Amino acid sequence: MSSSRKTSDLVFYLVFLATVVTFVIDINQIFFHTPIEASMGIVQKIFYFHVPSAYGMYIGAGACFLGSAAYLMSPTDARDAFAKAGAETAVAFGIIVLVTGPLWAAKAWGRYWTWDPRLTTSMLSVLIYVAYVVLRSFAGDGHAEKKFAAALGVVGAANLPIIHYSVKKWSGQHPVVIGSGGGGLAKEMYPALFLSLAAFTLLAIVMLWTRTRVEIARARLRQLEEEALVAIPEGTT
Amino acid sequence: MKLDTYRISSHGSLETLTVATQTADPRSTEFRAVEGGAETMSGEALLVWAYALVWIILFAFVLVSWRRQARIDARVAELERAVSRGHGK
Repeated sequence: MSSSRKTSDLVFYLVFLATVVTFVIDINQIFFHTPIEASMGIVQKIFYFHVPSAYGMYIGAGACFLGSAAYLMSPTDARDAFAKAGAETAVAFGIIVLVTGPLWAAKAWGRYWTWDPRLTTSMLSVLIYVAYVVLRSFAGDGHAEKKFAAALGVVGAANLPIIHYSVKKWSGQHPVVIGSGGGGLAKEMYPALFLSLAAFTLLAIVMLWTRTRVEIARARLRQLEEEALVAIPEGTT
Repeated sequence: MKLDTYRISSHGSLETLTVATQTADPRSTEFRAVEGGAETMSGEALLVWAYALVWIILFAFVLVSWRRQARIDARVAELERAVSRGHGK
């Protein structure tokens, strides 16, 4: 193993360890040091994983956009791998958002789902990245398929600002606690939120890193298989 | 469901006494929406479900990645050996 690979592995394990430690501290903070919300009760604690998951989805989608744009400008396996890893990360976090949101809503609104603008645009975004992952899984690994997927990765990112501004531009039920128009959190709730954001950022980095490495390894495998076809007489492998 | 029991009356005859009468609701033929709705689930249960599902999704992601990486690494190592053997011939 090369020294750069060893250094890369060491950094990866350190980031992974930092992620685990941050999650342990975060969960302790959420459940033992953060007060229960006055009107919703304990179910409000879903917020500390729901919001950072949405943030993690943005990180994944952003990575998919960057990797895709870079691939369209100058195609390399690493750029394609980064874009694919971003889409998969966006799907994983998007599913968490779509699972935790309705569980909170069941208590807060008395129903799991409404066609609120933010909910609808969030689901649409997850479906775009699911489409990307499905396309990459079933359409093959040719250059044309990769280019098509990269275009989807670029165009799919257009929905992200719509999710963000949907609560401002259209009326809906989704809460706006933080930012303009929001009443803010109680100050005792901020440490849990910031820790969760840190934990999910680290987790998103770990997931992106892991998946990018897997995809680079797959590209290397394909290259070796092509070499093997030329170099090795049939029937010797 | 109709539950009957019996007792001896004050003048010695056997009387039937209906203790409880329960009949099943008729089969539902429509579902009607209600605004707001009454609370049917506890916040604690929803919270546990939410956190459990988050970890299940994340572990599934890690497990799939791990297995895919291990399979690819094994195949790469096998091919690298085969390619170097092929070049040596």
